[in-house]
Amino acid sequence: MTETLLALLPIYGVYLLAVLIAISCFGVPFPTAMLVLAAGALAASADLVLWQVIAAVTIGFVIGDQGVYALARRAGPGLLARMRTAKSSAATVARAEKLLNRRGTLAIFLSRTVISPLGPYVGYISGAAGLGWARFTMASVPAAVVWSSFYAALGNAFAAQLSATSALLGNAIGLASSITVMLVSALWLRRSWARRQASTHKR
Amino acid sequence: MIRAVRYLSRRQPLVLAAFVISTACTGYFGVKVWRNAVYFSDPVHRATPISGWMTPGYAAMSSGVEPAALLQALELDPSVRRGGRTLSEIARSRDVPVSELLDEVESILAEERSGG
Repeated sequence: MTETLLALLPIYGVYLLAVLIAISCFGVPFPTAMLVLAAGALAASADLVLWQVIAAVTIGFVIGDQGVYALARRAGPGLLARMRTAKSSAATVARAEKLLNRRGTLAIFLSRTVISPLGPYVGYISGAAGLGWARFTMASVPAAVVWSSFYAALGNAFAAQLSATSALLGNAIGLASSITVMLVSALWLRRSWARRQASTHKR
Repeated sequence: MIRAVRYLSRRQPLVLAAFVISTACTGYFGVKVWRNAVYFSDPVHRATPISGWMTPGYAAMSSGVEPAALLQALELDPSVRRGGRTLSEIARSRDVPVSELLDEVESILAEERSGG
């Protein structure tokens, strides 16, 4: 798929980029990082224009993010209500909502930059758990600017080593995301177990 | 320890699953990053192979060759740059297989690089 999408890039240019980025915000696994790197690289050879690439990616990103938030806002509360009553997920949902309220801004910013594979999930959760629109947008728009500029500029700077840059960056982002999930879930489990210990000691 | 796992698998099955999966993924990506770092430390491996999605301008630039030189060798107009066609499209318009054009581009670039 990467090759096919890449081949469309010089033809449809930044419009294609904006549309694909917006769709990928919903969790569709397009190779967006590679596409933006390649667009940055094509700007280095004057086939595209760098500022237009950054603008298109940012606009696509913001539109997609708003779409995810709006969708989750509408469909989410019903689903969450059901998960809250289900025994397997009730405790998890309650804690996730609390954590999101406390650390929401940071979670939204990081999940759109350093740990971007988690972006769609955090977007859906934010909308469903009723995180304020203004708070979501204030974190997601700057993150979109940072992500777009970083990938386009990196592709532009390392235009001649595109596949190496893409492979290394992709795996590094994957590593950062897995480590984040591992640490957060480990802390979560430890607290849960500690609370249980405390409550049995009291008895 | 076993008691903790049993308790958590009952109370927090989703989080426990996330922990197990993310630990496996950490190992997987850790190995991949390390292997990337070793592989790409050799400059030869860093070059991007010429492929059909590239424009002649990009193919030349990524090989350290003046784009005009490649365009001229391919008998294309060097003044038309922006929104350039991909090598696949050029091959199609010439009715030749993409692989044949890619081979031709590779040999032109090799020649240009050696100062020919």
